[in-house]
Amino acid sequence: MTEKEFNDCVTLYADNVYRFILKNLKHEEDARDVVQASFEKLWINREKVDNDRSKSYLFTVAYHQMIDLIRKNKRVKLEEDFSSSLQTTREPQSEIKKLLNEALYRLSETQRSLVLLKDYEGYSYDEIAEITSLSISQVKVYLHRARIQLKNYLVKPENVI
Amino acid sequence: MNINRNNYEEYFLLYADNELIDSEKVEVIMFLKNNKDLEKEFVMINNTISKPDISVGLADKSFLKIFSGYL
Repeated sequence: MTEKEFNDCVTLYADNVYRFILKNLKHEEDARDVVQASFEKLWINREKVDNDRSKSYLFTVAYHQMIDLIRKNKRVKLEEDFSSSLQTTREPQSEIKKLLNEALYRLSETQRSLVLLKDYEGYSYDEIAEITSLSISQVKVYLHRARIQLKNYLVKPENVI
Repeated sequence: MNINRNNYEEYFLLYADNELIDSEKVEVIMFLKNNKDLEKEFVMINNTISKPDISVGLADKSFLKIFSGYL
């Protein structure tokens, strides 16, 4: 990977990784740190990482850094008004979007990460398994359980997941 | 693929996960046409798909880039 290819990766993927991590951690500074550490690791290992695999490599590193951080800090809290505090100028969310956001924070960190890797980035079960070090069948089962929980919350939000 | 009233939930979930090929997606839609009472469940499962907020991002990415002239 050349310097130009690396910098192109920053341009193309930094926001994707940041959004994924921020949605999980709900802490902008920590999310920036995880993104920075992920790109540093990509640069250090640039001779070993094919340019075609750089995006999934970044998500793999970022995911594991994030899990480590969560375990160390236990910073994640159920702040239902999180997104509104971040984007005060945005239009009000639709009711379903609002409920879905609430429901996402009632999932486990692993389940939420699987949903976001699938929905935000469109990764396949195989790719998510590689990123998260879970088996493909675990990814499928955990993801399906998560969707059922989300659906149940959307249908009846007073049900606590 | 043989979707029926006993296994439809699995296929609805695979559809939402975009893990079905086009012909399988058509089978799910055809199944729904013949089982209209399940349409609401199909819609609700698909409502669980999160969309990224593309307005969220790093305003300045220069701190991530490598400029060899400065090394």
